[in-house]
Amino acid sequence: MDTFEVPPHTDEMTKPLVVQEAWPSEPKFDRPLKLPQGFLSRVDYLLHHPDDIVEALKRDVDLWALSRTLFMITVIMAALYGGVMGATNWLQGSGIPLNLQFLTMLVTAIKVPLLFLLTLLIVVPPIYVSSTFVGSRLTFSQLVGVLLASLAFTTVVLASMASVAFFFSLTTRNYTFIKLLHVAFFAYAGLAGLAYLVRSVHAVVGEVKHELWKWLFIAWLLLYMFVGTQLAWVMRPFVGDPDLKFQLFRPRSGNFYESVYQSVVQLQQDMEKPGKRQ
Amino acid sequence: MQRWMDYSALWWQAMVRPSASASLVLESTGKTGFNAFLVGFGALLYAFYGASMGLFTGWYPAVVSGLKLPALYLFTVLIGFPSFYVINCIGGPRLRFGPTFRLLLIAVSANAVVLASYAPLAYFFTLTTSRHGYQFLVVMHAAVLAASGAVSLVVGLVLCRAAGGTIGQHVRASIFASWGVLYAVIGAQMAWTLRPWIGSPQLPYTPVRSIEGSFFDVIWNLVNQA
Repeated sequence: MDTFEVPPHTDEMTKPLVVQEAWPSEPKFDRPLKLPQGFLSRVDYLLHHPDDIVEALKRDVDLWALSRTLFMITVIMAALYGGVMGATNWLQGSGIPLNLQFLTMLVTAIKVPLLFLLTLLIVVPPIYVSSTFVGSRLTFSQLVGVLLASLAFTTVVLASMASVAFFFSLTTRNYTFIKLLHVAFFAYAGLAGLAYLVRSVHAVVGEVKHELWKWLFIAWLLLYMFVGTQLAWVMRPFVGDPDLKFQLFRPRSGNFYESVYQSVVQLQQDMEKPGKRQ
Repeated sequence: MQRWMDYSALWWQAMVRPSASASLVLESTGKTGFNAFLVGFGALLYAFYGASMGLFTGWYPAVVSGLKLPALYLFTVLIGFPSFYVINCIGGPRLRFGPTFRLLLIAVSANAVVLASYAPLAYFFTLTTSRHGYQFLVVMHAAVLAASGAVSLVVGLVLCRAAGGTIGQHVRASIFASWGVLYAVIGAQMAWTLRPWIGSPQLPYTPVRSIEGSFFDVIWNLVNQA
């Protein structure tokens, strides 16, 4: 269904990429990228063949089908983790009503994919415009493809921690601890995704001679991280404090970094006085 | 019966020389029985050791702990498997689904062998310790479990490098160790959830205790007291 057929309208595009015998270490890509059938097989493909996906992005031919698959992976994997995140109150057996517990679960399962995709939407225009300044020949579809690929990778890594988060929600009774656990898992997935982004951008863009390129790329990564954390802070609650009433969004106050610091202090206090919040 | 003899021969080969057992991990055809053998035989070895823990309190706790220890490892592997599979793709040998699972099962069965080999000593200490020896037994079992866990991680790393072909040779121990830390944390919390194992002489015996606190609280309190 989603094959990457090469349109036959230019010579450049129809030229097959044949691997030469003398260079066995070259990536084998003498055929159009063919994604396997089935959702989980595609997730597996994303994990096992990052080189093929980079190669398809480099050729910049019919990226629509690939982008659609990456988009689906992002949404489903993020929703999976969000569901586990929102289920904390239910798993911990907190006192809030059952229907609100399930509502939290549903809302968070929608919020987490939305968080990732809105961040992408916000950072794409500045990244695309600034990339043209330094003379990179990254096309818009390539940029979106690269960012979606790293996003899909991030959410797959995040979803791989869902079973661990589920287990700890089920066997502990401390809200602050679970909150920090989720922050740690997001940080791990985010860093893995950034590493993926760095590798694939370098592979797709190739060598950019401009001296500002390296700094611009670091600025992109910082922009991405700050937009993501700020948006996450605006969209809270994700886990849902059992002591507070249910709200779709909390009123705006404080910031993410301050909150993480306070949670660490809170957890320290909880551990010194067991039974207070457990 | 002959099949099981073959399986145990294959398995022992993997225990003794994991670096030469790549094909055992990689070849998927006809390995469902071998997977079942690994789970079943591993569970028996774990049960043998687990019973020595509960025997301190009595026969009934010995049976309960003997059933709980295989469950502890099975649950820990199942919970840790998705993250292991993804780490295997990020910084590891990029094995397929089936081989990754078998690799983990073989590594965990190494843990079971080390535990079972210590079991006679564990029985000896349990039967010859008075009621006041509870603290000693706690420390002994924790140390043995930690050491055998470390052994299984080393076996896992060697298998990863052997089975990964050209990519596998470059698998860094640090990446494998980072998953090892996660595995240890899940295992410790699972052990805490399934306690009591030995049965404190001060508390009435129940097969499972209610969920309260966590393994980390215990560590925190130990550090604070020291």
